Amino acid sequence: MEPDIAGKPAAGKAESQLRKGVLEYCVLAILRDGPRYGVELLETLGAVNGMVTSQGTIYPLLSRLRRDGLVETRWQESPSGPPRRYYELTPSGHAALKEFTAIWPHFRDAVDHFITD
Amino acid sequence: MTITDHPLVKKYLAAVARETAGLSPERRNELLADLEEHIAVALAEESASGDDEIRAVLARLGDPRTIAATALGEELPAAPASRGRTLGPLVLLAASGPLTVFAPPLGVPALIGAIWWLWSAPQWRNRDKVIGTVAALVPLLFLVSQWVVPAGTLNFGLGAFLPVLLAVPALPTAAGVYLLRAARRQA
Repeated sequence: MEPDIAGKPAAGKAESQLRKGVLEYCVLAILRDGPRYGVELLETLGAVNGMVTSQGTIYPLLSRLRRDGLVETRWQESPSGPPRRYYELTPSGHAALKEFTAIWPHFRDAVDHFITD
Repeated sequence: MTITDHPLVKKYLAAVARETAGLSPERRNELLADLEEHIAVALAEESASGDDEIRAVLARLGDPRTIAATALGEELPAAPASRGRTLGPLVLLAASGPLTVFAPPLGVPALIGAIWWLWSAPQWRNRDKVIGTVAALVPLLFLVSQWVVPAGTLNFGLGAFLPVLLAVPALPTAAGVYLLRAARRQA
């Protein structure tokens, strides 16, 4: 099943570890502007290189965000194709995103501090 | 026929289903429904239904093993909380052995309960559940064989009969220990 495209071992361990840590906050940030459905969300993420290598892995992540109460879902009919499941930020989702947004610059600066000479 | 009935899509979803056997049925069904919706929506938006276009959508979704590994990883935090749900069916399984042989009216309900509980638990693979079920049924088969087979033809002699009488009720306990380890391995 085209593992050459999907598995992408070349992506590197460091990159994949980093992505694992920040991807959910990128998802929350995209949803800040309003509800999105899966394919739409993935198009936005995919526009930035390296954010998602295997699109299907976003769904277990979205499922966890929903169980943790950070997003809500609802179904909506579409003029073309099947109904879409829309994901929407909850108040806790907004709070988690706000917290991350506050931490991130310090974190980024701290890492930069060590890796730049 | 909808696009998700296409053989390529069915094959892909079947592969995801196979790789996510360790997931709870609820999570697994949700994941499969999400992927199915994704495929249908992605193809509808491209107004595509050709084999190559389907292959491209599936390739972007990724290797079923990668998706399964992510899904199993997301399930991890919930696992330690289910210790009682792991021990419960195993204790009942262990008790069902001696009870079935020595007190069948108590043992048979315990046996049925243990098997039912085992199959409704998410933390074991089907293969492990089958092992547990077989081990649970051996004492019952032993009991039935004592009943059905005429005494003369099943003549172990007391020397052989006693070890068998001890080993048979212990079998479900042994399976219980195995399943306990299997559950830890999964977690």
